Amino acid sequence: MNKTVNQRAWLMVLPVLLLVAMNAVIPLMTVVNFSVQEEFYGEFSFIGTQWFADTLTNERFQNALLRQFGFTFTILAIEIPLGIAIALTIPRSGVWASVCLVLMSLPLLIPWNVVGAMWNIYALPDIGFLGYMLNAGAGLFGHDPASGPWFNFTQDPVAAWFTVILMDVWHWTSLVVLLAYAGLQSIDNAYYQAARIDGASRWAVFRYIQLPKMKHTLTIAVLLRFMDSFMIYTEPSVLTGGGPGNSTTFLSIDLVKIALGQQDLGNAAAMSIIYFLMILLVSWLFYTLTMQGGKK
Amino acid sequence: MRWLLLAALTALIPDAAFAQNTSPTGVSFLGWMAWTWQTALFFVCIAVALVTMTVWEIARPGGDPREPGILGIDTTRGDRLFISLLSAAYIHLAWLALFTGPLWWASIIALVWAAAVAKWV
Repeated sequence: MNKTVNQRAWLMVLPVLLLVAMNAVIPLMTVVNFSVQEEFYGEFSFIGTQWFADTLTNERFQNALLRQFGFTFTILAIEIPLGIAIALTIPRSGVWASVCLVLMSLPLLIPWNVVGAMWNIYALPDIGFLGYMLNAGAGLFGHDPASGPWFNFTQDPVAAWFTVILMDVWHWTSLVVLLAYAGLQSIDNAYYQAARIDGASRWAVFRYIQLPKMKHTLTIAVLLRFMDSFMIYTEPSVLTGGGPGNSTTFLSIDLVKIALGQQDLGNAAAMSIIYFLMILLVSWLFYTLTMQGGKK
Repeated sequence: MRWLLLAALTALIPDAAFAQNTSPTGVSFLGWMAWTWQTALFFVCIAVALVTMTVWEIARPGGDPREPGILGIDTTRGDRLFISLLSAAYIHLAWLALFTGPLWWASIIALVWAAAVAKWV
């Protein structure tokens, strides 16, 4: 059957083209313009790629980038296995399956700034439940309260990292669970029957049936979590404000400090473009792997 | 309709001259975007590349697919252009981070890499 070729359909794309031009392309062009100029009281002078060289060789940027990768890989190393493990324990059908799925979805429905505020209060060393219990536990193991609280995320970088990671795991593991569960649900019962006939162990079923069948949904989960965590701003900003010191200052927090705190527009623009290129690379990988993985 | 699409694409090309244009009230039309001729030239090149790819696709539809290339992924000529541009950005950034020589060297490496991508990826 011959397809009808109707080029008028392109007109339908025009509103989207205009919208994207106004809210993405033009602002991005402006950022590119700022990234090659020095701004001083509204006067601009062209300085070429100086801001990029400065940013890339700046220890502050390198440290923020390292912290960002450290955070992203830590939460991936926790959330992906934990998400799979939880998905494996959820019943495949029945009332409890629905109850589990609704409960798992709850953290995803909470606004990000509320999550940050909740965990800030929850982890406070004196009145927060988590902070109070941890400090009480430390007291039982011989910690002297007179030397200050054992767990204090507002002053101790290790405690701050622990709280930020715990908050992210609480907030986002559900997404991995839901995706892994969807992958598990798509496996035909015949595979399990064949495994039972062959006397396969629980581990063999997971390793040779469930894990390969979940490959595509897990790829989506890893890439979604990578991109989301790489761009994280609101939750750690509300929880720790990037502190104590700069210990939880991730890339986006540092970018906001430079752009809005210091009004250092050229530096912030160069940093934005470098940040954008990283996200663009991962987005391209995400698109290519999901599109071509689906085809094969 | 093809010409309409081309017109829409070319409308996105920034014109550096606009940067200095002012309305009758004296308010700068595109001055807030802080244009320089260098960045305008850069965007004109990107826009010309997009228009050329569109014209090429109209002249030879199908995207000249390669299944799979040396990276193990299926690519069209648009994908190869995107990979070349993204790689060029990373090559220039790596040069700025690691070397102190003229940036032209990075541009030459990026061009050689783009030719390799066009041929094998």
